[in-house]
Amino acid sequence: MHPSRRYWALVGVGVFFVLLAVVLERPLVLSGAAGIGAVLVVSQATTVSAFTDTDDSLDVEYTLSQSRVAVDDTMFVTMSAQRPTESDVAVTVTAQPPLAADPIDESERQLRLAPGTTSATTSFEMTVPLAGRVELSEPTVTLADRQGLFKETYQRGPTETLTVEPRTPRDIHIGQGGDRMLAAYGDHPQNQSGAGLTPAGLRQYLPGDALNRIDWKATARQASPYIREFEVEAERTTLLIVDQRAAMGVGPTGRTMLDFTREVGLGLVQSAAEYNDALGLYGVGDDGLTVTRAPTATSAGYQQIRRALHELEPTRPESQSPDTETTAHPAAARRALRLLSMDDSVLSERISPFLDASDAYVQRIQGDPLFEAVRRAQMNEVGQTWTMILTNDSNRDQLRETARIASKRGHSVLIFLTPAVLFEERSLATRSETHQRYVSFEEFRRELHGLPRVTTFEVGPSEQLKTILNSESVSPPSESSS
Amino acid sequence: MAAVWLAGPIALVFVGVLGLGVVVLSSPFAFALGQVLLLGLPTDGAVIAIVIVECGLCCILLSEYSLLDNSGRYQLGTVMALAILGGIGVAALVLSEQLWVVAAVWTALIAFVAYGLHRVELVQLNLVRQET
Repeated sequence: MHPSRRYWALVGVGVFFVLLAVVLERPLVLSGAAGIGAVLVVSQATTVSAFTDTDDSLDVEYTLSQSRVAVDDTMFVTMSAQRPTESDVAVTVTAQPPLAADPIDESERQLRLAPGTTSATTSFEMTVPLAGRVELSEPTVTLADRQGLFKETYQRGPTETLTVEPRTPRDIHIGQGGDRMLAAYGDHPQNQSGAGLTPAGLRQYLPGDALNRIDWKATARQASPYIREFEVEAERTTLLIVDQRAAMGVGPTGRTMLDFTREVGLGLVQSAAEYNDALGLYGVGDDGLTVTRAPTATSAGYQQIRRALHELEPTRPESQSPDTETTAHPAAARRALRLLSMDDSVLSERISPFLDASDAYVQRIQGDPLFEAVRRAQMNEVGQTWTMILTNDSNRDQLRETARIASKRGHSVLIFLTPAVLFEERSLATRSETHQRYVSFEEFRRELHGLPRVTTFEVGPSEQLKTILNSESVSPPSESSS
Repeated sequence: MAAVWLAGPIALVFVGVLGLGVVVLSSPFAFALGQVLLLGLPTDGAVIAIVIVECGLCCILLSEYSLLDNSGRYQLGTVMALAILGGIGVAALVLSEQLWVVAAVWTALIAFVAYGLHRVELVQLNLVRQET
């Protein structure tokens, strides 16, 4: 119970009368002190009773417009308070949004039950910029008596939990030539033991764990049951290489190429976890590797990779001149050179030296971050690996060579390719051009798909893909055997 | 003498000032103002006049609750509290014959009751743990 300034002023007046009576030796003056004292005591006693009754009968409720919301999406919180009977107590209820939520002005999230009223409602907007489960805490209730002598503030009432989801695309298409694929991860060797020999760490026992996996020494030390985890001896190592260069940031907020790629990556992590495959993650930015997670088959390792995938954002190149030049493949250049050698014209003489120099092509490929990332990821791996490259089709030459090097030495390669044409803004006037670009993408995808041990899928928003495919009567070129 | 100021223009001024005090300062402060004004008036032998004035001041004090529901209950409580304080004061005065003893007893009693009510409220609202 917090006395107000008015209360202390009355106390001061009472003390003044007491001192005056003693100094002047006039008993009559004490009647002033007695009157003030009586009012203060009676007011306090009645206020205690009124506050208790109000607290017992007050009913506060939170109502959320939705229980799941995307990051930065606006939602509405309605707070209502009611009491069964009228009272002299003024009640102010202040909602307590989650700490992670964007700040909301106190006056917006506050309702007031004035003396004599029995119900009040307020509604306010809330946005949460971070993903996760957040809680609206118990509201702050402030009681005040009608005479303005006392106040009481405490936190009591309901709580509400809200799930804030990261912005993720929902209509993901993974397939080939516009046809949806049913299983991305494919066949997998069976007969896995499910347990390994290399210790990976300790964790607390969870219901469902086999009793024979309890590490008794650790349990004795920690005074609660602990499980020792081992690196599972996986049959295959999977290397997840995710392109996060600036070009992957194309698309509307929450539906960029990287967002779609991330969803595919998370699905692949889930599959790897189900098969107990050792999984490593490499994030490729404009200036090289940004994330490196060595292959691991522990649950903690999968969790770390999931977290790293969630945190991936498109990078920005240090130099602002994107590499857009196209250099002929050395084989194509050699073919052209052979043809030109049979021609004696001046033009042939001028062009021949350019076709003869294949160094530029090699330098450009070797300087590509994705190419370097794949080479580095495979460098430390022995045995059979499965390289999964998640990227777009903006650097086709580099990607082609990357796929070639990734599939060397018998490694399998899975490429998830986001067609830039599905993410760029387009108008009705350019439908035909858009379709042509998609056809070009599809031809490139098939070219990659035709490489030995390389499987290539397209990833993108299914609605956009349908629109493009329906915009022209011409369907994508039929799939050749690969 | 007392009859003169009780029935004369001084009384009118007195009532006017107190009425203004109630409006501007609220009832308890108007009551205190009345008590201060009463000090300046000659009160020798005017017991009845003083009792009448004190009753008037008490009415002003009790008007503090006029806006509340069940104001009669609060007014009755205040009258009873005044009676208890008066009784204790008279007893202390008779026993000690010292005015400061009465003042000390009242101060201690009111402080004790106020603190007790404060603790009761914390318990009733289940706030004891939060405060400590």
